[in-house]
Amino acid sequence: MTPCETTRGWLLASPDELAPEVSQHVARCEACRETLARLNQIDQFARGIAPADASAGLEKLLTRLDEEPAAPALQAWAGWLPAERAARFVLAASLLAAVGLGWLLGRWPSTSAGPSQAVDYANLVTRAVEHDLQLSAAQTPDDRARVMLALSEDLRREMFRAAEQGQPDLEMLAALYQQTLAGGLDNNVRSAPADRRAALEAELAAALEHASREAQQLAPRLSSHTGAQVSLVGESARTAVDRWRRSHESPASETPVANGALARPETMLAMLVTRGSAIRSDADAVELSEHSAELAEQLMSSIVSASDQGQTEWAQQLSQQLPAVADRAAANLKVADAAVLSAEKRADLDRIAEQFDASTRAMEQKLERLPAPARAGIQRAIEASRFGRERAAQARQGHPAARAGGAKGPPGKAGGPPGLRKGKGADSDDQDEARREAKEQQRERIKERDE
Amino acid sequence: MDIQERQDFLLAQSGDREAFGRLATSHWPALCQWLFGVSGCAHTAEDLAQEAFLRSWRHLARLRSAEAWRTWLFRTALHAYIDLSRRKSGKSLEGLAFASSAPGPEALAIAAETERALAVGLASLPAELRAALLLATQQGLPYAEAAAIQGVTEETARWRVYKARQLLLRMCFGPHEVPV
Repeated sequence: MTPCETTRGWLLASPDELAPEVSQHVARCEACRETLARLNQIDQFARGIAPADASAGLEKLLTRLDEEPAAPALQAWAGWLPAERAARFVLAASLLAAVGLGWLLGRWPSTSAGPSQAVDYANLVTRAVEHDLQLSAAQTPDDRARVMLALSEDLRREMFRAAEQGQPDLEMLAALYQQTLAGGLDNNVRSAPADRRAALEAELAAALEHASREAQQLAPRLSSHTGAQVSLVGESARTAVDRWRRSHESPASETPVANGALARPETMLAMLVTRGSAIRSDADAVELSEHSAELAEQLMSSIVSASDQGQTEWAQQLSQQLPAVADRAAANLKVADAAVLSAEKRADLDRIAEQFDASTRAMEQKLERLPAPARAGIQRAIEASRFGRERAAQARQGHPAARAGGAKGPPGKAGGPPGLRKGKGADSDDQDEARREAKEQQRERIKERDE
Repeated sequence: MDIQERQDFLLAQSGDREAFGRLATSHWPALCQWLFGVSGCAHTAEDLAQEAFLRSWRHLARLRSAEAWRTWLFRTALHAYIDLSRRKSGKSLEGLAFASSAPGPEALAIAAETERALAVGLASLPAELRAALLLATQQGLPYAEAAAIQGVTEETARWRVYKARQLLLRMCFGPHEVPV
């Protein structure tokens, strides 16, 4: 093959990016220069092809889009969560998702917030975890709505603070604020009992109208781009209030609450961290245990990952959150253990306890390589998770106390989650009967398994 | 894709039609332009683009990112074009009426001649070569994304672009231009 043939092969492959030796040959060879010129003509022609005016088609598309039914956004979660739970779940998850994204995208601040810093993601994560704990403890939609409002306020205040300092990249916070209102807050308000809903709406509307006013005052002082984002936040707050008012005027015309599915790996990661936010008001004790145990496990695994990647401050920060989450997980396991459960639920609880035990064991093994500040938080979590470990050990040994429940009394205060029976009064006979049944069923299952 | 589009994608995934409208408005010209190049007909391009966008609205929840959405959008449009071509098997799609925006009224006659030759040449290419060439040149997509849209390997996508250029050289400028 001649040099010209070889060169033309290269030209055909990539006329835009020529290797130095090819360029040198082209510079010397008139025929190859001409081939290159013709190839450039071809590419230029291809780039120039365009229909005269396609705007009418776009208008048609947008009209047709309005006629389309709502996108089945929750289908992606169908196998993972009940749809009712998923809507709330997606909301809370997306909040932390973006916070997580900030970190993953390299925006994680190296120190605590200061004047030179844009968005204080570290503080937002701390607050989000706190809200997550509150959500997992809340028993009514009213309470949950108030927590969601607090979360949205955290996002809004941080966004406005950063906007005043000239930070331009606030789109994500604006979007998250919108999603908080349109998803979790709105869902919970609509789920509130009718007799309390009006009062709840009035309470929340006051806060949202205040947010809208602040946005109106702030936006004109900012650059056009940032001002538009702040205005968007104010508009979202006002829209939420309007939507509630409209729903009273014509309840039948209520639009479906926006929901969504976030399927990126980083979003999934954050999704797991915020699972506690999805707890239903009628969640049973085992579900509560699972949620809090998974949150603790996710935190522990994130601590190790952050530590491995040299994100010492991030690991430390997560470690500070961990004890409270682990305490919650241990407490929920205790409550579930004391409850009267079906054999199936009992098996679920065993599985949850074993998994929690495995996670804490894994943490113990990795403790040495974690930074000192992170170790303290982890140690605390390991102590808190002792109950889960004991429970798992009993389950492995087929211990009767672990099988039938009720060996340990439920902790403290009255009025646990629905499905729980606490105390020793009129229900105690029923409880004993149910325990005997559960024990019997468990024995049969073990026997079948052994056979 | 910029952060605004990624944000719109997330909002659209959560059911926000306006956000999806903004995404559609942003990507409509590129998809229409490409489909026009592939099909040779502005009406067909618009119809196919509309269908692709509406399908993507219905399937947004399954897509993991804004980038994945764009690939999915183009791939869906390509499949729709292939289906349409099959239904019209044996018949051409209303002829390839390319209208290049490159030359203006002052363009030289010789340039117009070349352009006509290129239009005919492009229309004569097998559809998969035409689609690949336009993805790489007109849309400026990396080969990996062009390959994903066409459902082939990156190597095959490269080969298709190479082959398309080779055939166009031969058809429009003479057989001596084509290397062995």
